Order: sequence, then structure tokens, then C-alpha cells
Amino acid sequence: MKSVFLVDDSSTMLMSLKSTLEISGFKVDTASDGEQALGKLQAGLKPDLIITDINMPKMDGLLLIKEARKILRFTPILALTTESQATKRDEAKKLGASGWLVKPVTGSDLVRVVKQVLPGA
Amino acid sequence: MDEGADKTAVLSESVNVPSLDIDIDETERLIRRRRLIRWISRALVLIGAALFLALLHASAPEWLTLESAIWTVGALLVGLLAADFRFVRTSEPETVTEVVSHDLARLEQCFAILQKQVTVTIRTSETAVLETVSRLHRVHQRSAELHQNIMDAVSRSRHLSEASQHEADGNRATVATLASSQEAFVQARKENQERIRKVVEQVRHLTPLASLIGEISRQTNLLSINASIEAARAGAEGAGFKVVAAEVRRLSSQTAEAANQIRAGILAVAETIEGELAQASELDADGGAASQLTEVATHIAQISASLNEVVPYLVELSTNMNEGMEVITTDIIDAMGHMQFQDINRQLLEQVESALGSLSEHSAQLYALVGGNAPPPPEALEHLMERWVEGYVMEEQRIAHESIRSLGTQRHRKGQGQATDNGDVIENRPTVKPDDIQLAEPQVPKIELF
Repeated sequence: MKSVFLVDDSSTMLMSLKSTLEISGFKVDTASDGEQALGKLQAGLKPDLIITDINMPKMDGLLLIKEARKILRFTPILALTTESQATKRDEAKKLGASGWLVKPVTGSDLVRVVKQVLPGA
Repeated sequence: MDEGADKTAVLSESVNVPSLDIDIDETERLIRRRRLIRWISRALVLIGAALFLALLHASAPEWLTLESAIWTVGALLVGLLAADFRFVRTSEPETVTEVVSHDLARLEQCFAILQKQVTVTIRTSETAVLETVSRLHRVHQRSAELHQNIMDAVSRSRHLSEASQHEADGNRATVATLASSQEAFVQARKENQERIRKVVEQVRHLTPLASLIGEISRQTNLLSINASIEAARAGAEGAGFKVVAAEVRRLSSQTAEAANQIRAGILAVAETIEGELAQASELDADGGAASQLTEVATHIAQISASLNEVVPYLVELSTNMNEGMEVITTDIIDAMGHMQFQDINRQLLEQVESALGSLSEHSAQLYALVGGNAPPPPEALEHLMERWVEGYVMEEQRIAHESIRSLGTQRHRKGQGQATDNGDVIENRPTVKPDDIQLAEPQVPKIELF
């Protein structure tokens, strides 16, 4: 079973995304900000996919992407954010993001993208 | 003072904003005191003027009649009263200051209330969404359990049906084989019976032979009698012949007896065989096992035909259940996805909450400025508005901000506004309607993989 690591400061987002992905057959871990997420990755968590918000307290998503890439070089990282500015997207891409999703994303689209990024899921 | 401080502390604690700097009750007491002082001073002026006019009339009545003095005091009273009405009062710094101070004092409280409302809105919607997502998850779990139970039942039913059908097919073949064997057996028995009838017939055909033997025996007996008679006539020479004749008579007697026994035996055998054949014919007449087996085979064929209909039905039911479950799953995860609206609204409202907090702080600084107790606020309101932009997370926020800001910064020039009677110009500010604000088009695709 493929695993997904969700990072978002919104409890409702974490719950809805977690439920959606678990129903679709994925194992899900969560973190409520970038700092907590980085801590889990440094502690040994090795997900098959990371989905992160951008605007978060303590450590934003862009910094998390940059730091996570040092630990997991080949793991796909998707940004799921309300931000629709091209500059932010380009910066995320430069730091190592694998994709950019603008909220709201339907559950079906999210599952489709996750399966597309994780062959064999 | 204490009650005002208590109210302030409770409100500050609930909305996590800096405590209110303005003591509203003290401000109101100050305003009432100022107003009282103003009225007292005007009353004193009026009394003083009346006394002066009374003395003047008393000392020089030819200069100031009583009627004129009264009219003068009345005019002074009307003038003082008119000065307190807004449309005559021009720029009385003290009154304007009181009003601004009073409203600024209340403004901080207004902002705090709005902040609180925004926080309540965020928390309420968050709670509702969490509950909704939780319910949707439970619905899906129960649907999945029901689906699994039904699929298990369908699978078991299908296996049972297939097994029953297989067994029915086997039984039908066996029964058909039995029926076939039974028919062959019956046919063989009939043929045997026929052969036996023929044998009986042939045996019966031996009966005339027995009669012939009996006749021969009777004739032989007659000959022996004749021989005995002739032997008796022959006298002594016929003694040997007499013995032979007696022996022949004895043999013919035995032969006749044998012929009778043969005839009786043949008849008995024929009757016995015919009796057995009759019984066997009775058994065949009432149907026999073959027809019963055929009936059983027919029933088995009917059962097999029914099972043939059940299996495809179960397959179709299974397919429909799977398709239905997929639709339910898709609908549930899409419904969960729609809950993302709450996160978007939360971020929008948090920006509003932050802006209200900065306005509350700014109004407290203005109040201190009006009261003469502090320098001007460190940051002008225009710069404060620009700082809000830095915290925006959506293009819609930036566009909305810019559309309102651009309307509000139009400089008013002389002659463009509406002039009042006293020569001042009131600028014609265009009113902004909600429909005027265009929502932003996203700069990037909604889903993009690099």
C-alpha cells in the first residue's frame, strides 16, 4: 500500500484529504506545519508522496520543499495551496516541487493526480 | 472604572488582541463634564448680561428701556442656543474633538467585536466541516461493509448455484444412463419372455408326441393281448411267445404310463412358465422403474434450467453492486473535496481578522492623539493598508484590495465637488457596489505536474 504524507495547518484540510486518500486505498501520515513535517522526515519517515500547503506558520511550504529534497531526492512533492501566483509556483518548481495544485481540488481529481504520480497505486 | 477594565480584559482574552487602551466610561464622564461646564459658563454669561442690562436700565432708563433690555437678553439667549445646533456651528474645536474622541473610543470596541465575530465564524464553520467529513467517512465505511456483505452473499450463492447445477447435470446424466439401462433391461426381458413363450409353445408341441406314444403303447398292448391269445392257442409251443407277449404288455403299460407322465410334465412346465410370464407381464403393465427414472430425469432437468437462470442473475447483481459502490465512493470523496471551501474562507477571514486588529490599534493611537497624550500613529493608514497586501494568499484578495484602493485615492479638485452654502466643497466620492469588484482569473492552471 502506497503512503502519502500530508502537511497543512488547517485541521479540516488534513481530515478531508486524509479521509479521501484512505478511502482510495492509501496509507496517510499528517503534520500541521512545516517544522513538524521536517521533524518527522528527519526521524525516518519515508512516504511515497508528500502533499504540502504553502502558507503555514513556523515553516512555510516552500522552505519545507527545499529541506525535504535534501532528505528525499526522488520522492514526488506536490503543493496544494490557495496561492495562484505564477511567481510562487515557479519558485516551488525551482526548489524541487513535482506539481502545483490550486485549492479547491475535487476529491476525484486529487486521487487521479496521486495515482498518476505514483505508478502502481 | 473597574467594570470597564473587566469588560476590556475579558474581550481581549477571547480575541487574542492587545488590551483596549481606552477607558470608555471615563471618556464619557469627561465629555459630560465638559458639556456641563459649557452650559454653566453660558448660563453665567446670560445672568451676567441680564444683571448688566438691569443696572444700565436702572441708572439710565432713557438709554435702555425695560423692553429693550428684555429683548437684548432674549437675543443673547437665542444666540447661545443656536450655537449648539450642528448646522450653525462651524468649527468649534472643542465639540468636534469630543465627538471624535467619543467615536474613537467606541471604534476600538467595535473592531474588537468584529474580530470576535470573525473568530466565531471561523470556529463554527471549522466544527461543522469536521463533523461533516467525519460523517461522510462513516457513511463510506458502512457502505463498504454492506457492499462486502452483499458481495460475500452473492459469491456464496453463486458457488452454491454452480455446484448445484454441476451436481444436477451429473445426476441427470446418471439418471439418463439408469433410464437407458432400465429400458434395455426391460427390452431384454421382453425378448427373453418371447423366447420362453416360443419354448413353451414348442414344448406344447411335444404333447401330441406323448399322445402318439400313448397310442403306440395302446396298440402295443393290444398286440400283446393278441399275442397272448395266439400263444394260448399255440399251446405248449406258444409258451415262449406267451412270455414275450406278457413282457410286451408290461412294456406297453410302462410306456403308456411314461407317456402320461410326459404329457403331464409338459403341461405342468408349460403352465408354470406361462404363469411366470403372466406375472412378468403384469409388472410391465403398471409403468415400471424406467418411467419413474424418466420422470426423475425430467425434474432434474427443470432444476438445472432454473439454476442456469440464477447464475447470470447473480453475476449481473455483482456487477451492479460494484458499479454502485464506485459511484458512492466517488461522490463521497468529491463531497469531502468540497469541504476545502472552509479552509479558503478561513484564510480570507483570518486576513480580515488581522486587518481589524491593526485598525483597532490604529484607532487607539488616534484617540491618544486627539486627547493630546501621544504623538501621531507611527504608521499612516495608507501604509497600513499596503501592509495588508503582504499577508494576502490569494489573487482574489489582491485584486479586491486594488479595485477599492484605486477608487478611494482619486484626488478631488476644486469645482468637481458639490458646494455648500458656506463655500466648502464636498467631494463627489463614487460609491462602490459589490458587483463592481471583479474576481481574479488565476495566473496558473488549477492542476499542474512538472
